[in-house]
Amino acid sequence: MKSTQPSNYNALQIGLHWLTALLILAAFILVWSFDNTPLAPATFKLKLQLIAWHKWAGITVLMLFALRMAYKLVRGTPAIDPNLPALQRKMALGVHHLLYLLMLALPLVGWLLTSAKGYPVMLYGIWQMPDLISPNEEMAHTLKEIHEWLANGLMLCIALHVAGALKHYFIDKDGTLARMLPFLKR
Amino acid sequence: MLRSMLAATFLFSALGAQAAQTVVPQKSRIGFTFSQMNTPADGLFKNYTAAIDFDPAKPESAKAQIVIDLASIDVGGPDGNAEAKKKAWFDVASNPKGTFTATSVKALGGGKFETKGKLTIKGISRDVVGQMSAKQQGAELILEGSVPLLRLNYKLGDGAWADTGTVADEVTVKYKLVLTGKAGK
Repeated sequence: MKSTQPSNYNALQIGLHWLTALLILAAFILVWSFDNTPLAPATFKLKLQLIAWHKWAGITVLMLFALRMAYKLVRGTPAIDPNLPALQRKMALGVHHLLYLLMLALPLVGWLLTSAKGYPVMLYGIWQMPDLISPNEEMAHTLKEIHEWLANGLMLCIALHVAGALKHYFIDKDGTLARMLPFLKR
Repeated sequence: MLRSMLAATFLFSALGAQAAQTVVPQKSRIGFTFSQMNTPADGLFKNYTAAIDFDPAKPESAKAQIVIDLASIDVGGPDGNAEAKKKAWFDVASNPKGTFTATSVKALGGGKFETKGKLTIKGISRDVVGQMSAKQQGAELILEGSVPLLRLNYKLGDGAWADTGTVADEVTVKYKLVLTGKAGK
């Protein structure tokens, strides 16, 4: 990481953060819709489309994650407010690291899962991604469970991340949330 | 236990029938690829019996009959598997078995063969032509091949499922059969 930390997130970092947030939300909504769409002739096309979009969203999150991490190495990110108690800073950092881990692991396990199921990802409908492993039913079952657990973990981390941000805004009334939402600057 | 007894029974009956070949199920696979909204997908049949007698040096005397337990279909998920067994697709309640009977095998050179045979699914028989490669590896003869077919020819995905823009008509059966024992009689 850079030795001099920037004092703010720039427009690119803010944009990529919110784009990722939107895609993660979309991925959850798409897979819930997929699960609730019956496998029947009238809805099958929709069902296929929903799961395809879910995969595109997940893989895009993975690609954006790589881009964001690379950019973080180049530009750096602002430090957590040093006036905060050490425990709070540790918690914030811990949740960030968990979020990073999950944004990497969740799409990768999804990619493994769809490979194991024998359904390759046709990214954006144009590029067929390589299969990471060959079809294997038991493996697919295990990977699905891991994918779901990681997804639950991600939901929990996002909840903590959001709760922290709201706490800073409404209780501490500090500038933490405004770093990602500049229009909130007071 | 039951499995090994069955295996032993098969083995002995095979030996009794003058060393025809036996399929090694753990190393063999009968699967298929199909396409949903232009995205390839892969499925397989877990249970089948295959009586094969094939000597790569004498393809003209090859014999093969494969009986597939259609209810053992796996298309990657419980919902899909349940749907595939229904009347519109394989209708396994009325037609539990699919059979392939080889009619001729012709050498194409370089360990490759053209296979012809009759495939019967849902009571509909069609002649199918495929390609196969044969490779001897130690005591095992490895047959790998594919057979293209059109699902609607067999009324697979009849009626409401017939839209080939969603599930393509073209399906390719892909198999790998590992045989032990000697061909011939």
